[in-house]
Formats: sequence, structure tokens, C-alpha cells
Amino acid sequence: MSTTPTAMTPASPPPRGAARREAIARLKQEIARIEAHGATEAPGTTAPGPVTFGIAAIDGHLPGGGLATGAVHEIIAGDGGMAATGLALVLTARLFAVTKRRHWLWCGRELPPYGPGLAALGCDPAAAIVVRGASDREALWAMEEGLATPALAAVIGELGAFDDRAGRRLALAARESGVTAFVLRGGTSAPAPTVAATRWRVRGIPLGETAPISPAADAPGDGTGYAWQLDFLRGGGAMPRSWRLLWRPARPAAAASPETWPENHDGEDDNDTGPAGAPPGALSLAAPLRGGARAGGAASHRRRAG
Amino acid sequence: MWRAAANRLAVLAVNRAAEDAGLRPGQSLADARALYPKLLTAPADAGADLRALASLAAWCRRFSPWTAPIPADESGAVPAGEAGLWLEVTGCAHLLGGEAALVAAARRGLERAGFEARAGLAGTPGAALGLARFAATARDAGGAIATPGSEAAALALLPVAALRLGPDIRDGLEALGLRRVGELYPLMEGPKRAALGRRFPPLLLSRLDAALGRRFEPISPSRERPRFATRLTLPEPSRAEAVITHACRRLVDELAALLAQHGLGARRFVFTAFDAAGGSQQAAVETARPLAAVKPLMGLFALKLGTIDAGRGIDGFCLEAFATAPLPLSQGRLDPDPGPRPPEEMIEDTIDNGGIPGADLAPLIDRLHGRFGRRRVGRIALRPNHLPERAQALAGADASGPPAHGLGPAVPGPRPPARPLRLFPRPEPIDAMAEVPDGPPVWLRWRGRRHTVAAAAGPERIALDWWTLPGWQANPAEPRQPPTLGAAIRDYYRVETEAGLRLWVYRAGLHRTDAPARWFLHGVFP
Repeated sequence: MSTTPTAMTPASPPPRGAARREAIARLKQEIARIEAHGATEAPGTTAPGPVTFGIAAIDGHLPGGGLATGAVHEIIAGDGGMAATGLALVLTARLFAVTKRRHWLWCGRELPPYGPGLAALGCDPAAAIVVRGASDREALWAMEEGLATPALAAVIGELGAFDDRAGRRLALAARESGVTAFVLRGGTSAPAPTVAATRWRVRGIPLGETAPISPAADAPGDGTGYAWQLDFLRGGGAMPRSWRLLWRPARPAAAASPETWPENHDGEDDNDTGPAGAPPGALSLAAPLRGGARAGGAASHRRRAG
Repeated sequence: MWRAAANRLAVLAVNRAAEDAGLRPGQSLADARALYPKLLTAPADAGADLRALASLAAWCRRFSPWTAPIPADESGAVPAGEAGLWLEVTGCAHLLGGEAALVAAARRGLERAGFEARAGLAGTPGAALGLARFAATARDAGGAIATPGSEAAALALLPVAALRLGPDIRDGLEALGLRRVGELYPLMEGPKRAALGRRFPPLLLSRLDAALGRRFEPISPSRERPRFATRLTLPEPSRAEAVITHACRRLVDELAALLAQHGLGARRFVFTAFDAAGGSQQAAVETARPLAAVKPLMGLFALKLGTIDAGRGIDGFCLEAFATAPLPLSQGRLDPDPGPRPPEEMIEDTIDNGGIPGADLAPLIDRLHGRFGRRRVGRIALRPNHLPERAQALAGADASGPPAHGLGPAVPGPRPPARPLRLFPRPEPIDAMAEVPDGPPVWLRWRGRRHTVAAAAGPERIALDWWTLPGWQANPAEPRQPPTLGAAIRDYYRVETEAGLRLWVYRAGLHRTDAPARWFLHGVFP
């Protein structure tokens, strides 16, 4: 969302490509806002705009052009890994820029995420307030307290289950303060319906199975990165869809090795210097590899039956 | 109690049992042990003595507002073990029914606290101390009381040590055959006074004058710390829960006003409910920053008041504030209720709070502390340590605590090596198989499930602090065993399973032909 489309006057030529999608997303967002709050509010005094993935295909699909701030979003872990947590943290890092706030609250059953790993995703560990060892009830209580604190950018909670009433309380608190909540839920079984604004399911997929779609985002070879299968399940009346998502750490301007992380066995590229203040990484869309497209790289991928 | 003095360990003070066994202060510790081999000894702690004395002086304020400790003196004028307290009781004694009653009450209280006390009461501090040390015994309840004007007579028969004189002056007086205070009286007048003044340090005459009331000797009381407490007594015991909330609200109102008057806030508040049976129940709240405002305090107490059971009938309440500190100055707002702030204003979230960063988080932290306790709420602090498990620590969430290490401004430099998003506090042992002895695993079994490795990166070798390993302890009895080479090494691999899990595993130690490699799973990447 870095470029702003020009004014939509008849005189200007119709925007094309990404700009067009972006303009449509903005208009959808405007309509959603008017529907939610009525047209009386002047634009600009409303809550900050939605948090986007920075990927037009996904943001354009979502009503409102992204994930609404001041709402509850549910992310279901599709596997036993940390993909759901990772996605919530990447979105939280993007929220810092949108909301201009830098603190966030983590409440979970286990230990909080590992600090150096957080830092790599762009979330300042020192800006986090963590509550550990919280049962579902305690986590709900803590999340509601966090959602009532406008100084927070986001509230992330690990919950096993929460009922409609608890969900509505969270949603109400989030709408009043403008704080965004991410509910992380484990389990692969179909969860009960909730009042979350959007619901996602994320699971990790091997990085080797993916290749970036957009040439601009073609940044393999950095040695690290994560690939996720992202399923949009419901939210705002949009159709369910799936994407393959890549998260890559920011790459220095210098050309890096075209090897992807799995092939690059000495993964630490020690001479990388990132531009100061740059985001630590970016999301991009990936397509599954077609057969034979990566014949060279496939040799080092050990496939075994079972 | 012993302390090192003049090249030997000397007994400084003994308890009653040791005294009965024949031990005396001033003996060498070796002699005392020879007399009684099972002697329990402890080194003297002058600082702790002083603190105990100060707290006793504070306790004695119930008898008089003007109390001061008399610490033991290095010069020996007040020997260790005979430290005492001044109480200026002028105008106080009648409140307790006379001087004798006051002395008895003070001694009873000190006895309950485990102190053996001797009391002297006289018109001058010096005479009172002399009477307490040499005229009173531990057994007479009333203490030694000299009526006004009779100090000279009361002191006359006491040894000269009663004047708080060091051993040098005492020895000098003894060489002249002067053993009792009364023997000094004739020497205080006329030309003999000048002779006495020449022969001895001026301390002798000044102590003598002060004890006899010829010179004023002031007592400087230790400064009393203001105590912030409010209390409420009910006319009759109540069992209603609502009374607790109501009483708390009233006390908080009063205390907040009291604190605000002094420009102070407190970080710890204790609410005590006294029941009719003589018991008490407490609810305590702690805050992240000094606080003196009613509304947040009541919010915190609302979480805690449920623990107070009114079943036995409550007839009194007390609210105390501890850890007081000056309130940070903040600028008030013109409109009393600003309502929800527009987002533009939130950008400058520090300006609105008197420039204190994170001040608007304090209510949240307080409430989290109130519900979960201080140990379960924190911030993640990065630590400059190469060991993964020590690279972070949970710091306190208090705004008042030391600032947690965070991400500084982005510094150009090598990117840190990839770290997982979840690190297990204890690495989990896994079964793993590598194709070559020092290569990455090709499959692994973790928590009962077998994962096939699709790709791996590494190794990243991290060496442990070998000097902390077992077997490398500084044990003078055994010659030091150097740690086995490689025992303190971990080779970390990032592996990606075919199912899409990204795991951080390591092989402990170097490859050995005589033992299978031990593999551990230490973290999970997103």
C-alpha cells in the first residue's frame, strides 16, 4: 500500500493493475466504514485503517482492504508448529506502523515467544507485556483488559475455546479502544463458530515447495524465510480462499545467492547489512512448484514415502 | 556474639545461659569454646544492632514522641550489649499513670519482644542512663527512679563508669583512687575543678555537669517517617459484604487526599479488616508506579476484596500506604472527561502523561499484577549472551523496574543467525538419524511422531560455558579434571520436515565412535 492512486476524476485515466485493485480495496473499505459507523463521521477521525498483508491479492479479497483494526481476528494453527503465532506476530509488526503504537500484550498458556525470534519478525520484545501460564479464562480476562488499554497496538492470546459471549465482549472492547486482537487457537478440528471478524487457518509448508509468484518479491537465497499455507475461512462475507505465503527477511540491496534456504547449508550470510529502519522482512505470495521447475534444487530434497 | 579485636576473636556479648555457664564478654573466643565446647557463636553485626535499636526507638514512641537510640560506643563508654534508648518522658508519664507505671509498661513491652531491659529515670539523660546501667537490676519492675533534684545523691554511690566514660578516663580516675561518682563531687568546685580539667580530657567534666543538670544535654530524636494510614471503626460488627467495599472506598478517598496533600503516591497499599473475634484479614495491591488516585486504586481493590470474608463480623478497617514516593508531575487536562481519544492523539502517547513513557500502560500492568501476581507478568528482555536459553529473560513489567533491553535502532551489521519463535526451556531429547556422523538428521522422532527431514541448514556451533559443567567444579580435594573435549558443544541445525514443520535441533557433543549421537529439539520456527 505504498502508492496512492490519483484522484478518481473522469479526466484521469483509469488506474490499471495493482493500482486498480488498490483503489477498489479503498472504496470497499470506505463502504464498510460507512456501513459500520454511519456516514456522519468525517473520514480521518475514525480508527486507523486496516492492517494489510501488503499483498494486493489477499488485501483485495478481504472486505475493507485488509484486517480491520479494533476487531478480533482468529487464527487457527493448522499444525503443531508456530505458523499461526508467526503470522499473528508479522501482522502485529505491521500494526505498529498503522497505529503508531509500539506496545503489545501476549497472554498464553506456555512461555511467551522467544525474544530473539520475535525480534527477527519485527516485534520488539521489550515492548511486549507477557502473561504466562494463563488458563483460557484467565487469558480471556487479560485480553479484555488489554483491549481496554488504548496504548496497545495488539493483543495476542492463545485460547483453546471461547464462547460467543466471551467473543462478543472481546469484540466490543476492541471496537471501543481500536486495539486489534489476535486469537490463536490450536487444534485441527473444525472449531465452533465465533464472532471473530475474520478467521484464518495457517500451517507451515516446506519452503522448498514454494516459489515466489511476483517477480518483484523474488527474494529467495537469503538463507531464511518461512512458507505458510494460509486459508481464509470466513469474514465479512468474502468467499473462503487459500494462498501460499512466504515470509522473507529483508534483503540487502546487494544481490544474494539465488539458492533458497534449504539448499543453502551454511545458512548464515554474515556480510548482510540491512538498511537502517527497514522492516525486518516482508510477505509475498508463492505458488507451488510445478513438477520439474526446480529440477536442480530437488536433488537435495530428500523425499521419503511415509 | 564475637568480633575480631586486637588480633584475637573476642566474645562481645553472651546470653543468659552462657553467662550461667561462666562465659563473660571480653574473653577470647578460644577460651569460651574451651569452657563450653558446644557453644553457639555468631559474628557481631554492628549494622544490624543499629537497625534493631532504631526500630526499638520507633516502637518506644508510644511512650513519648521524643526517643533516640544510644548505640554502643567504639571507645567503650557504652559497651556492646549495653546499648540503650533515651525516652524524654516529660509530660508523658501521667498518661500511663505515673513514672513507675510508664517504666513498667515499657519493660513489659520490651520483654515481650525478647529484650531484657533495665530502666532508669532521672532529671537528666546522663543520670538516667547511669541509674539504668548501674542502679537498676533486670529483676526490679519499677526501675531506678530519681526524683527531680536528687540526681547527685542517686549517682553518688555508682561507679564512675556510670558517667559514660571510656576505659582510659576510668583507669586514670582509678589510679587516683576515685572509684565512685560521689568522690568526684568535691573536685568539681573551685581550683580543684581546674586541676581535674587539666589532668583529664574535657569529656569528664562535661559528662559530670550534664549528669548533674549543670549543663544541658540535648536528645535528638530520630526523624519519624510519616506513616500514611487511615482507619475506620464500625459501631458494631457487620457481616455484609457491601460494607467492605464501602469502607474500602471511604478509606481510599481519605488516604488519597492525605497522599495528595504531601504530593506523594504509594506503590503498595494494604487494606486490613479486623473482625470481632480479634483476627484480621488483608488485601494488598501493588502498583507499577506511585499512585494516589482513587479510581484506579478502587479498580485494583475490586479484584482483591473478594478474598475478605465477612462471615465472622467485621468491626474495623485500616488502609496503609507503603513505598511512598513523589508523584510524577503531570499536566491536567482542561476538559474533565476527554472521552476516547482520536487516533492522532495516541501517536504522542507520552506527551499526555507528563512525558513518562509507558505511563498509560501502568493501569493495565497493575491490573494484571493484581490478578496473576508479579511473577506471571513480565516483559521479555534480550540479554547479550550467546547461549540461546540465556539470550532472553523475563523482566518485571513495572515501569519502575530497570528498563528491559530491547531492540535498539537498527545497526548495520551482520544479521543475527535465525532463532526460533518458541524455545523450549529444556531441550527435548529426540531420536534422530544422520546420514553422515557430523551431518544434519534425515529423520527424527519427536513426541512419538516420526518426521522426515526435507531440508536442513547448519550446523551452527554453539559452545557452552564448560566451567559451569558438572565435573568441573572448583574442588580443592580433587585435582581438576579438564572437561572432555567437545562435551560442551552443540551443533544446531534448522531442519524442515516434509509436513512443513521448521524445527531447531542440535547434536550434543562431538561425534564419537563409541556412543550414539544424542539429539535434542530446542525450538520451533514459525
